Amino acid sequence: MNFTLKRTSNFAVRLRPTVDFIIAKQSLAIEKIIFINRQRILETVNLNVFDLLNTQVSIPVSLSTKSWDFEFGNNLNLPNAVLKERKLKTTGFFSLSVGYLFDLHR
Amino acid sequence: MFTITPPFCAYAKERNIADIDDLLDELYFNEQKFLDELIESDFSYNFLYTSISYNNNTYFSGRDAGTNQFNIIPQVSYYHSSGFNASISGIYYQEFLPNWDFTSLSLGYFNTIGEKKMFVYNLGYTKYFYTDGYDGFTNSIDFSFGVRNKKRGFGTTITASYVFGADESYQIVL
Repeated sequence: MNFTLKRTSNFAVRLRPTVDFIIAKQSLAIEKIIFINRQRILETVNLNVFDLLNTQVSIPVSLSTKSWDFEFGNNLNLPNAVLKERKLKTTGFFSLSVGYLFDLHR
Repeated sequence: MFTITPPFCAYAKERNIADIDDLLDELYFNEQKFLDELIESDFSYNFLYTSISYNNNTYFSGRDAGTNQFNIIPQVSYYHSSGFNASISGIYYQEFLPNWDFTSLSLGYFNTIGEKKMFVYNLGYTKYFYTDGYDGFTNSIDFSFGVRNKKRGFGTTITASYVFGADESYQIVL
């Protein structure tokens, strides 16, 4: 979504919330105890899983001028536990970005 | 016991292909000028975009790796109206050693479909150069396809990536 909060000939302020679903193949190392000749042996088994790993909600606000743009965002991760992962906690972080655009066409 | 080894770095707040048209909007957002440019130059463009992003914490696939640390992502990108784009980027972690994890070089081709430009796509290739010599996932082929409404207020993009090196993986982001 892209909401223009303020727009003049010199600058624009936009709110661009996004939701990303990240689905990936991951290699998982699982350690399990097996018995060989009645002896307990810890064995590492590598498994591949293709599943939803994370849902990320980002709510960035950007201020753009002709060449500069500034963005401040609040990001929330909702990780999805796969295989034997325990329930994962929601995480979040803030982001700041400063950009400058050089127009080489003029 | 259970461990997870994410093949992908922490969510990188880089400019991506979905933002390219927004960048163009920002460049030409004075509509009168936009129309003039459109007539005079058939809306050709040629620009460099530089940015630096700071994220106050780092998570891998949304998961807390047990280290509270910020990361910084500088980026320089080039966009041409032919559709060609290229960028160099990387990521710096506060606590990991080496702090500079990798440098990446990307090449891409971006275009729109239809008169109303409601469909956009980008095909890209990225090469990762890890500071510590890690060779698991050092290449990425990405395809993005997006659709948006006429006023560009709503849209969605699907990106499929195949990453490979000594190991291989794939990812879909909706």
